[in-house]
Formats: sequence, C-alpha cells, structure tokens
Amino acid sequence: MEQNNNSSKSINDMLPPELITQILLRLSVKHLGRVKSVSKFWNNLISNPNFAKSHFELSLAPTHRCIFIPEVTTDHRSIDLDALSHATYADAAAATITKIPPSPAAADIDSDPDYDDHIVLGSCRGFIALYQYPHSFVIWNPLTGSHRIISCHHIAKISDMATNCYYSFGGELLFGFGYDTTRDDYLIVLAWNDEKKNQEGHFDFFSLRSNSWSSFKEDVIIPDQLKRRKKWAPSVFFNGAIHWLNHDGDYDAIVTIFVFDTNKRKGFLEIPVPEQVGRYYPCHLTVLGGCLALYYEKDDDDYDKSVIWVMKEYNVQSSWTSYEIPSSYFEPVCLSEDGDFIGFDESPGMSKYNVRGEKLMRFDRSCNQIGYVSYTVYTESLLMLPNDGSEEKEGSSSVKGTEESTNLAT
Amino acid sequence: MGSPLKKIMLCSSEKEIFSVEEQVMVQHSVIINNMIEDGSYNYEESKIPLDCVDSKTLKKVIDYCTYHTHHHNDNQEDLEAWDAQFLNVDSNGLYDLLMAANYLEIRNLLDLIYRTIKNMIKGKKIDEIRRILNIKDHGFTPEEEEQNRKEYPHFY
Repeated sequence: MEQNNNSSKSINDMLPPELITQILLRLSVKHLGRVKSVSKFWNNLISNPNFAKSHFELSLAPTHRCIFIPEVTTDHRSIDLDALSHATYADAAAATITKIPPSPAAADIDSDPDYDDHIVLGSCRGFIALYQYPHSFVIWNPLTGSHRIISCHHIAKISDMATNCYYSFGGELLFGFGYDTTRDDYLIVLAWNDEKKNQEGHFDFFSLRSNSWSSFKEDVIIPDQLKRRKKWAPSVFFNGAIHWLNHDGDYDAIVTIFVFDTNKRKGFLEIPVPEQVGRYYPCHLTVLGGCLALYYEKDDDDYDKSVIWVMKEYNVQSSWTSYEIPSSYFEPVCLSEDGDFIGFDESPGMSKYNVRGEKLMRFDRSCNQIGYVSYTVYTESLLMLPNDGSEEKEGSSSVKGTEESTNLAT
Repeated sequence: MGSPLKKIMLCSSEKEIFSVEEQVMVQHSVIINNMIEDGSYNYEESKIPLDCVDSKTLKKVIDYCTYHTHHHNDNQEDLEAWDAQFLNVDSNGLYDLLMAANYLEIRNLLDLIYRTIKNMIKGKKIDEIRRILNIKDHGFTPEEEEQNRKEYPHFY
C-alpha cells in the first residue's frame, strides 16, 4: 500500500455496507471484539444478528477453543487450540490459556453452595451445554454471554437419581444438544425411562426457540440397543446431527454410532464402527480434524497403547483409519494443522503425537486436566440464542435479568 | 466459452472503449459470461457499458483478468507476488477496484481485495486502523468514545 494522501476518503464513504461486511466477515471473533470500536457504523454491522450467523456459517476465520469447567470453583479456563496447534516450544502453550468469565451455572453455585455439581455435556455453534445439579441444563456462549438455564423438573427420574452425577445420573438413556437449521432452533434431546411407571420410555426435547419441553412423536422410536444401556451416553453434534456411541461394555453387542438428525427429527440412523472396537471399553466418540473419531485404551498386547479411529469420510465404512499412540492413556482433543494429535496422556499438561505415534512435544504448562472435571472443544461464535434479551417465558428458570452481556474478551 | 480470438468491447464511465479478448473476461466475470451465454451481446455492435467503472480502474481490471488467464499455470508463489504488486495502489484505487470487481462479479479478484483489506486491519490497534482507512468520523459520541477508551485502553 502506498501512503495515503490527504485526498483519500474514508472507507465508510467509499464502500457500501455489504462490501465492508464482507471484509469484516474475514476477521476472527477475537479481532472483531476490538474492531467494533473503530466506528459506530462498523459496530452496527458487527452487532447485527445476521452478521453473527454469516460469520459462523461462512467460516472464513474460524477459531477453536477448549473450555475446562472445574467441578466446584468458578475458575474457568479455555485454551486457544489454533495457537496451541502452531506452538513450537513447550512454554508457548501457556500463552494460549485464558481465564474466562464463569458460566451462568457457576454464578449460581456461589449463591447456593449445595448445588455444586455441573459438567460439560457438549457444544454446538459456539454454545456450551452444561448439566447443573440437580435438574437444570445450561446453554451458554462464553464469548457473547448469551445463555439460558433450562429446568427439567418435570422429569421426575432425573430429580430422584441426580445424586449419582457424571454421565450416569439415573434412568435416562441419552442426552444430546444440537441445532436445527430449518427452524433456526437449538434442541436439547433427552431420552429416559420412568422407573415409577414400569420403565415407560420417553423421548423429549427442549426447543430453545419455543422455550418449552415436548415429546417426539411416536414414530421416533428409540432403538432397543440404546434402551439397554446402563450408563448415559455422551453425545457429539456433527454434520447436522447428534451422534451417540452405543457401547456399554457388553462385548457381544454390535457397536454402532446412532445418529439423530435434528432437522428431520424422524428416527435413528446407524453408522457401523470397525469390528475390533467392540472388544474395548470404555470407548469414546469425538470429532478430530472435521471427522468423527473413536478412541480407547488397548491393554491386551505386551505393552499398553491407545488407539484412535478416524472416519475420514462421513458414513463411509472403508474410510475408518486407525492410529496407535504408545501410551496407556491418550485422550485426543484436536488435530494440529499438520495433522498431529494433541491431547492428554499420562504426563501432566497436553502432549502432541504424530500419526506414527511419535511423541513430538509436551506442553507442560498448558491446562491440566487435574482438578478439572470436564471439558469440550468448541468453535467460537458471536451467536445469541433465539429470543435472547426478550422477556423470559415460562419453562426457563432463574435466568437473571434480561440484559445481554457481551464479553468480547481478547 | 468464446473462441480465444474473439474480442468484446467494454466502455468505461468516461466512454472510453476497451477491446478485450472475450475469453479473458468470460473466464473471470460472471456478469460478462452470462451476457455472452444468453446471447445479449452483439459482436457487431455491442459495447458493454460500465458506467460506474472509470478508465483507470477498468484498465487495471482487464490487466488482472488478462494476466490470470494467461498465467493460471504459474506457481502459486509467483502469482501471489504478481497480485501483491498489482494491488500496490492507494486506498481510493483499492476501493475503486473492489467496487468494479463486485459489479463485474470477478470472484478471485474480489476475494483477493477482501483479504488485502482484512490484512490491513488484522492485529492493528484502533487508532492505527482509523488512520489506515482514513476514518475521521467514527460516529461515536464523545462519551461513548471515552468509555471505550477507558474500558479497553490496550485496544487503542
């Protein structure tokens, strides 16, 4: 660029709003937090709900983070996974950790120390889903502060059994959090058996748009395999659908991934997993480098190792590819730009392994799992929940005020 | 697709006529491609009037399309170096090019300019962005501006 001379005009006088918007869509949410203050006009463009939607969906400058929610304190941390992926020395990772404002759930903890359990259930479009003891869900965007606390009081089973938290708080079978593109709505789906009524099965969903619980129509039948589960299955929202791995340690069972399309809301599809997977438990479902993936510990050889399977092409059986990490424990969190695995192994901090299982680096000062109950990876967004900022309707409990807090932390 | 030797006429806002290889424009401009395909361009008589593109800008646009048509097999590095040199213009010139690329729907040029302006903003402090993009009237009230500066001093 040549130096501007006095005859240069302001970009805002020269370009129409739609072209300026196109430029701003290419900045990461982190930069946008600052750029909002460049001019009122830009602030208005960036604050438009359609901008947030386009920014997330066009994904011209996506950023990924991993949030850690501790069990009882409000000391929430989040790692900038893109920066971690580029880090070339162990200490660099420290710079990628940020303290973030506590979740709305944690804010409640302070007011009532008896209610001290909450865990991360998953993420979707920049929103984190939390379960909060004893009978609430919290949907929360850490970046915009947009959130909703959703009561599930009516599901008596959960209230009764919630004492045994962590993926197994009672007669419920499935929890899922996802997004419905056709209705621009977020859904919590919850399947549960009513032990008081002869194990009567229920499959309910909460619509963030209508702000109410409903039951799926009777044609949405929960597969028998899922009904037999003894533990609740964590879910992954991916490719417009909620995915669960059906595997609870029964070695004779055929292991599959169950898929529930949140747009169609019709029924469950199944994606088979490689045969070998059925022999190992626990086995976990995740997303790595934009692909569904499984991981488990393999302890039947001479030495312990961890196995990762990646389904390179969605729903293509022949595309399942396996990798072995020579550590008795490895929990992959993300892929680096070069396709290396970054995650937790036996050593403190996070570690990076290449696809041949060679350990490349240990980020010793990076966020440590110890003391953190749960975490999830999410793509940052500027999105607000439907009807956010409007009067709260019945069905959502204890949302404090209606103000929108916008914390564009950089 | 037109034959490589066919020429079309483009007319700038100053009514200056530019004769360009048809293929060059058809390959890059969605608008011109559509005009040729639907037969609305008459080779004997038509000039495509581009009332909002001045001669200086139109010449640059034609340069870009011509170069990228004939050098699309060059390695990425060379093309990027050429693009960087091509966009070494003042900010008014850059905006004019962006408007022209938008009007003619030249997608790779649009994307190049969007990225260039984005890179001028990325990582910069607010005062610097305002200077680079010549934003003198930021539109905030003095109170709002003071509040922002107080709240995020490291942004400025």
